[in-house]
Amino acid sequence: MLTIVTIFYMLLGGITLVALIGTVDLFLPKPVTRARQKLEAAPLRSFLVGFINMIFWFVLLVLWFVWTQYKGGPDVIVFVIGTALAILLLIGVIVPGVPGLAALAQLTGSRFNRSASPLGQDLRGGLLLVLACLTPYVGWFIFTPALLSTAIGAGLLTFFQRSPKPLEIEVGHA
Amino acid sequence: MDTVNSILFLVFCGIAIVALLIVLNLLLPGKVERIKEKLESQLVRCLVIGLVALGLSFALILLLGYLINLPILQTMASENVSYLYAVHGLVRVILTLLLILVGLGLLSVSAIGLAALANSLGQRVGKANPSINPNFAGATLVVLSGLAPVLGWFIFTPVALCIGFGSTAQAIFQRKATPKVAE
Repeated sequence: MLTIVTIFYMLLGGITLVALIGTVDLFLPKPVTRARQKLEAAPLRSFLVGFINMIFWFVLLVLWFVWTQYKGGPDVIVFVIGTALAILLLIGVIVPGVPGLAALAQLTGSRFNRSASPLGQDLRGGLLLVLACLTPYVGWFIFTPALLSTAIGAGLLTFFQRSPKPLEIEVGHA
Repeated sequence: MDTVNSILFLVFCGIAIVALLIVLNLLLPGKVERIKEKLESQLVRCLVIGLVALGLSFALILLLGYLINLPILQTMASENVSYLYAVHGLVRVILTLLLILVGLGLLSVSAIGLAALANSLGQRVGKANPSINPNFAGATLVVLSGLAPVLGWFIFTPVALCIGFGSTAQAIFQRKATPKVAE
């Protein structure tokens, strides 16, 4: 019974995530399109940027957790401020990651079925990604971290990388 | 109820693996294409390389597993010496991490190889019936064949894993052909 309930919960979570991906693409089409361009142009760079950010965030969170456990932890004010900062940092990583994930789903969906509608591509790609992440061992420990890193990296590059300025053409005076 | 649970789990795992193979094909098209070329041109070589490499890797995993539960370490740690406890714990953690790393590496390399195998099968199916999505058809065929009782479990799955591992290893470690200089 436990397995059935667990699988049911996982499917429900997967369906809601697919719906979220579709909604984000409909709601924020420009960031998603830019993130997709980043993913297509430099997937390895996106992965590395996301990976480094995830490690940085994880190390900070572990340090904070260890410090709060050490000898009764810090004062209440320091604890509250530090926890708020940790949550802000987490949000700062997750928020760019959502358009990145939507872009990844769009890319997967468009490659899977080019003739489908944009929403159909998103939903198909999202479903494929969610199911792939649920694969035992390889999906849990290799594919999901890699996917999240790439999505977060693409999102961060989209939000924080400046677009190159157009070259100014100098007109020579005769 | 246990049987129902097991079957449900197996079906769910099968669907997830199909999705993983399709996604690997879609997200890493260049790598999968290179592996597929190796796989199609040198099937037997891929199988032999995969067999040897997987055998060695399993031997390494067994060795690590044995070292983790080595009686000498446990005997040392059972002495009331604090640093021996610390060393024993540290060694076990490092060995366990290494074991997990090797196991996951094996699985992921084999998964990319299986994706190439699915791609190869899918394109052959797609030639005969263009209305079917080749990635989906290939991945479903590979997973269903692997789930076939007895023959699938003990023959197809190990052979497919060996071929996948061998072709990926070949594609990763192959040297680029140097262009011949025309005399």
